[in-house]
Amino acid sequence: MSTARVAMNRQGVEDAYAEPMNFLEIDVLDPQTHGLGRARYTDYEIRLRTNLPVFKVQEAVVRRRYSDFEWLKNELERDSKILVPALPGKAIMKQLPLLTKDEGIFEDAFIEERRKGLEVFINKIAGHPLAQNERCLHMFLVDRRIDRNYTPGKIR
Amino acid sequence: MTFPSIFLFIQSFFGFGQTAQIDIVLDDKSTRPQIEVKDEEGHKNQLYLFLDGETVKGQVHINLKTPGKKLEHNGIKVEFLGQIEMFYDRGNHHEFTSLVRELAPPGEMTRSQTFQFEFQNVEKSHESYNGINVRLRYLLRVTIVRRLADITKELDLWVHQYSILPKINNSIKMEVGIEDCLHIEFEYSKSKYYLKDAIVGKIYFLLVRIKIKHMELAIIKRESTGTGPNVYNESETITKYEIMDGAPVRGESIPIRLFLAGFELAPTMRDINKKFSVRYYLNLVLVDEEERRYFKQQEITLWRKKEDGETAEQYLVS
Amino acid sequence: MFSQNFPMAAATIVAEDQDKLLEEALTVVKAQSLQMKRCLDKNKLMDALKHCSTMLSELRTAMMSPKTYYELYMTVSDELRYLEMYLIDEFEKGKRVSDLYELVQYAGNIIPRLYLLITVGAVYIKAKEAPKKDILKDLVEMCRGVQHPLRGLFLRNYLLSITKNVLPDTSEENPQRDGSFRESIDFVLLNFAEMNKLWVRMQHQGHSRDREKRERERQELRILVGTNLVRLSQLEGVDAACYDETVLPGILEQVVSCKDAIAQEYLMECIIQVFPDEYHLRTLPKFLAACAELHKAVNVKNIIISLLDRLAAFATRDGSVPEELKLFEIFSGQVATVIEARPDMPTEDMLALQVSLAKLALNCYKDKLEYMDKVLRNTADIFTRMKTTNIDADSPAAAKELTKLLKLPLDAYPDVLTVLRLENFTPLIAFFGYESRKHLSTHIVRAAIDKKTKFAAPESVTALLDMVAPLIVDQEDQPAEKDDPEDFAEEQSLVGRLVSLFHSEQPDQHYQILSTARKHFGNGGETRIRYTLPPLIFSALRLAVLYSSLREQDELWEKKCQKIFQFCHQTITALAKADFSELAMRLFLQAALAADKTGVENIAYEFVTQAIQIFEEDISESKAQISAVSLLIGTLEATSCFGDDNFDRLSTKCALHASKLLKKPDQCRAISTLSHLFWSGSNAEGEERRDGKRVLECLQRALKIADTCMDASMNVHLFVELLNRYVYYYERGNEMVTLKYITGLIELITTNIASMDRNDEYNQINANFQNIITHIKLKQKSADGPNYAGITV
Repeated sequence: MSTARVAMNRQGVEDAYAEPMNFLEIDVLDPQTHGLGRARYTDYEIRLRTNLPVFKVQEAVVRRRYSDFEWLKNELERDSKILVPALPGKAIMKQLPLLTKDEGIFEDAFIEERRKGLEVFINKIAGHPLAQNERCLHMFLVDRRIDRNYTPGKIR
Repeated sequence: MTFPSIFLFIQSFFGFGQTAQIDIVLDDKSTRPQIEVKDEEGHKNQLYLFLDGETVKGQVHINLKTPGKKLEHNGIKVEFLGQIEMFYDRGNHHEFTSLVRELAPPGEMTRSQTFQFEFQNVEKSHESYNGINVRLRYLLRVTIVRRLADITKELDLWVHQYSILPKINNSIKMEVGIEDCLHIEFEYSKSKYYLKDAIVGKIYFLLVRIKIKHMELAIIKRESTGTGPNVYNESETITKYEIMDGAPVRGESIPIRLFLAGFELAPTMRDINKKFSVRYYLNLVLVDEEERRYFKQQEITLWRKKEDGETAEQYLVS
Repeated sequence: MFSQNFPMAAATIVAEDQDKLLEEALTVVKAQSLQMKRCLDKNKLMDALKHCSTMLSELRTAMMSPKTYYELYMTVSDELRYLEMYLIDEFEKGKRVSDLYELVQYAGNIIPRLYLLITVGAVYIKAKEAPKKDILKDLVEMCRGVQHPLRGLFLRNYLLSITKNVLPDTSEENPQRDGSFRESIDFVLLNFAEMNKLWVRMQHQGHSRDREKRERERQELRILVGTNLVRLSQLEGVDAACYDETVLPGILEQVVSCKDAIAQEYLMECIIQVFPDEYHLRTLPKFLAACAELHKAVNVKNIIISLLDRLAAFATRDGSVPEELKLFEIFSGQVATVIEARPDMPTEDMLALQVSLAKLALNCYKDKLEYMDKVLRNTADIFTRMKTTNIDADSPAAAKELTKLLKLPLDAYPDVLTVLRLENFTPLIAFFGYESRKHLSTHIVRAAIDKKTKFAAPESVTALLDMVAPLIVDQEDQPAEKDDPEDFAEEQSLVGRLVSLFHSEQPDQHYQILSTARKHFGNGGETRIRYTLPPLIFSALRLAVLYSSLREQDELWEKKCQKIFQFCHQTITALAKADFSELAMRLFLQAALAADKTGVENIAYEFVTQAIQIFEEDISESKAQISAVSLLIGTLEATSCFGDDNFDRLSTKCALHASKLLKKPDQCRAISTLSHLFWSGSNAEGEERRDGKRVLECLQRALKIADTCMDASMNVHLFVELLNRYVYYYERGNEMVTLKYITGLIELITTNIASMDRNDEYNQINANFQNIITHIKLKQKSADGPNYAGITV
């Protein structure tokens, strides 16, 4: 009994050496700060690469800012049963120019920290089988502009 | 586990007249197998092991503590009891078996005495069980009935219920998954396992579109007690057993072989006297790189197989 | 459907310093292994296994680079040896292994569990409690649970290393029960397939931007996969037939299907290296057919070449290739298939394949010219298909390969004539650019010279010279800039040396050869003929002399000679026209000597007059004139065909030109030299002329010129030289030269020398003079010899 086994299915060589079908890679890159004064903001390039058919495209590049991530988080929390992970911190103190000596939320170190956090966040979301059903995620990753008046719904 | 000894202690402390020590001695004590059983506090006790239909036979020794003094009583009896105890409802024992032998009519004892007793071919319809919320126990209880406080002595017995090889024992084979994300087929060679069996099977991957990190098989014991709205469920993970490290691709088969003998398991019990059930599940869990868990539970039946050299009537596992 | 929930965020893995990770892991390993050993020493096996399992848990890490993981693995597997040894010891004492085999399977984590299972499994096998083959099969199957590439590769490598000495082979005692080498093959092949799968899959791990890093890491791990092949090659049971039918197809199926360039390149090379050459010979078609199916990025060229070179060496070492094995045909066919299947293959790779094919052809089938020729034709076909016109311009690397290819037969065949028989050789050269063509041509010429290849037919001469055309005639694509003159001279001298190879034992044929060469060289332009034509003329002149010596056998000899002399005349004239006047003059004089030997006076006369004409018209530089005059005199002196009239005319011309030289000393010396013409030069009858009067005239004239020399020391110098000649003729019995002249000259010298400054020049002149005086004194003392009685010295 110590060597009992059921027969294994014979895996064809095609499958054995096939490229894994779970490729999904989202990079958050190239932060750029635009505008002046109160209208000043930073956005990031979001680069999607995948072979998951649910995404319809294999590659997409869009630019998104922090508030877009917040929007996505809100949409998911409202419309799905997914426990959405946290976004990197809002940095309330840094948003008050009088309290900060440096560039505040526009400082390089802060932006880099946030970029990393956003990258972790979006990879977690996008790899979630249920989140992948949500129209908002696809709009966020693929469409050039986010239409906040879209009709929420499921992809599959 | 033997509460009655406390009563004895109290009585002698207050020093009411004569007291007696009761010993229950089985006739086959030197040959009968014993089994180590943990009680609620985790203390290990050695109990005599009985099978269904076996005769319980022995002697009761009653030793008077104070020589010369007499012991008045309203009769001496020995009972063979099968009880189900709910821990949330202590004191409310449900007795499913109760046999009595009168050892002595009411009267008085002036010296220590030994009584023979025998319960022939006793039916022991259930297996003994010590659970989280429930206990199924067999015991012999000797009672010296008295006006103020009875003198009693209990001896717990442990009962094993053997089953014969199941006539039908299909493999469990099922395809499960998340649409377009993960399709697997699991196969466990049997649905019914004896307690020293090994779970042998495989997981066959048909579609992998999530980033799996590892896969484990857990044995979960679920104890349900009570009925209707008062059902209490307790789950206990008997073991977690990693069966795969890393991410497979389509067409991969992962072998499973999990030995059961090393775990403390009781047979599956379904709706024992409409009081409780003990069921076992295999929980297959896949964990992805983000620590998300995907799982599928499948009930298996555990049964006790007769070991070589033991005798007992055999029943079919339902 | 799966039930499913969302977990806590995974802790971000901090990129740790690998050294630190290793150090920490090793600390645990050392501590646990120490505990394990202590427990084992006290025979507490259960506790020992627990420590062992904890130690093995270090191998579950996901943070180590392959290199670091390797270090850890090595240490851990060393420690496991201790456990294995202990268990072997225990079970030799009679303990049961099967219980233990079950026991270790309770380990909850798969990595420690499988390492333990394998370790115990090996002992289980050695204890012979259960059939070997069943345990082996179980181990290799259970390892499927580790799908993580890095961890799986090492685990399976452990399996492979620990089962090394227990695999069933031909000497198995109970093959029915334990299995034979067949089961071992299945075992290793399955393990190989699984490892290769993991190794290939590793490429897809991690972020795509780290692709190159992963490729490097995979290269570092390749030996783990290759060990499977080594193990197969170590099985006694794997003979050539088994290799052919089972092992190789099993390996190739994985290699081809994996479609991974790194794996394919390594494994194909590995197959070549680990299995014996005899096996490769047997399985060539299979192996090569697989080559054609490899990934585009695989350098198939290297693989095929590696095999080709190995087999070529093998064939050379172990005698000839078996007759029935069409080694060349197989390779040639497969190389063609591979090239066809890979339109993107770099040209240099295609050519490198041809180079190796050529090596094979030359090493194993030296006599089969058609094989070598086929390689050359294949190569030409490649160029045609690729519309290559100048391979140097298209791909310098390919040009290098082509050079290699063409040099191979040149170096391998005993002579260059064999190369000429390769129809496709010369056409291939045309695909080169100018420089490479010239380089190769030089190589060919050198090869011909080194191998002393004789070109005995006009056709072979034409073939050769066509082949080395870049050295023979100007090329259309030649750069406008002239070559370095020294290099050019060296190159053309080399071509000139070829003429010595143009040789037939048949004089008529030899003449044909020379005419053919003449035609080719004639097209070489004025710069080349200076080097190429003279050797031809010499060869022709020798031929004329030969005919002359064969006059008894060949009645047409005279006509033939005449034809040759015409040939020479015309050839030398070509040089003269190209302004190589001195050279032409010398050659005419050479021709004259040759004609003289054949005894044809008018032709000899014609040549001499041609020489004189060139002298008169084209040689104006005074130094050149001096040597020309002395050459002319020397030539005339060496002839013996001239009648008196012609001799007079020619000697007069000589005297005239001698006296017309620019400087007095030169006139003096030339005229004194001229004197020999009249003394030792022979007449038509073959006798020395011994015209004492003309001799004296020359000497006296020379003396007169010397006297007019203003430079005092030169004046004495010339006198001494003349004294020498007077003495010479006196002693030779020229009656016109009397002691009076000698005495007079000695006095003159004695007087003049006294007034000279005492310097080096004086010393030398005086020494010469004293030598002559000493000579005379000696002669005076001797009984016989010339009579110097009348003079006092």
